[in-house]
Amino acid sequence: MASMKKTILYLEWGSILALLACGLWVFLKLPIETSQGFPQKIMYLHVPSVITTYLAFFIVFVYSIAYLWKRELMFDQIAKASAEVGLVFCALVLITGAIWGRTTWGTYWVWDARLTTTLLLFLIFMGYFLLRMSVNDRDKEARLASVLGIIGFLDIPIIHKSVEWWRTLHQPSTLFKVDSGEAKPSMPPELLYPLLASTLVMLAFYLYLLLLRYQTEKRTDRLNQLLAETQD
Amino acid sequence: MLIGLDYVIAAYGIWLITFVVYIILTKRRLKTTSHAVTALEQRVSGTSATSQHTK
Repeated sequence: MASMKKTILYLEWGSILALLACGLWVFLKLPIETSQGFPQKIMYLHVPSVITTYLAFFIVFVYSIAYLWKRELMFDQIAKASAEVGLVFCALVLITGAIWGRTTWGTYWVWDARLTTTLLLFLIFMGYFLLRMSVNDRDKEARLASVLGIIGFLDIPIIHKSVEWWRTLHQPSTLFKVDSGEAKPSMPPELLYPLLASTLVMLAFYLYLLLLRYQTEKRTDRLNQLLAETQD
Repeated sequence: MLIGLDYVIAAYGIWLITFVVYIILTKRRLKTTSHAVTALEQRVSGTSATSQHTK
């Protein structure tokens, strides 16, 4: 318990300071990109947020399967915590993407395949929480949410491939492109390295939020259990 | 002035404010729940000790 508290504290300060350092690197050291100009800096926020969203919902997918298989409450608590953090990141992906879109495409929103499937992901996980709120039995809630969590995750490969499957306004893969069967970086190293660093730092920040949220979830379940005991 | 500075400020500002609020709310919820759990655990253990004493 004490070691978990310490880990959360280290992750909190470590990731916040690293995010700050990445911000300083992006704004003070990096050159302004020639084609998009200053708004290209939004990429260092938007792309890592996208990758973190994917990871958060992948964790939901893995722990939902684990819950359905083992029926251990801990797995559902982790899935729920990750879904909430993922939902916040997903909302920020939509918002920062819309702002970046306004500067590059001249509009905040288009019903483009990438944007629409991302909005769908957000709505699926909003539904995930509505479903949890509408069921009183804890086991039933976990079972139904696990099924929806697994189905919801299946939207992510569609989002990722949407720029290849349909003609979209959204740019193709930002990090790497496949050229004659080989994955190559789609940008020069001076832009790629800060992007990779921002992504790693944001993943550490996600881990901090996940652990913090998981602690809350554990306590909430314990509280409900105690309340049920005192009522008996 | 840099072209598009307002958009960059808006994007970074919204991201930052969202997480500041989210962390504050989550920490507050964790604190409240922890206090409630401790209080209830004490009450439950107190009740069981009293019932054992009366037996």
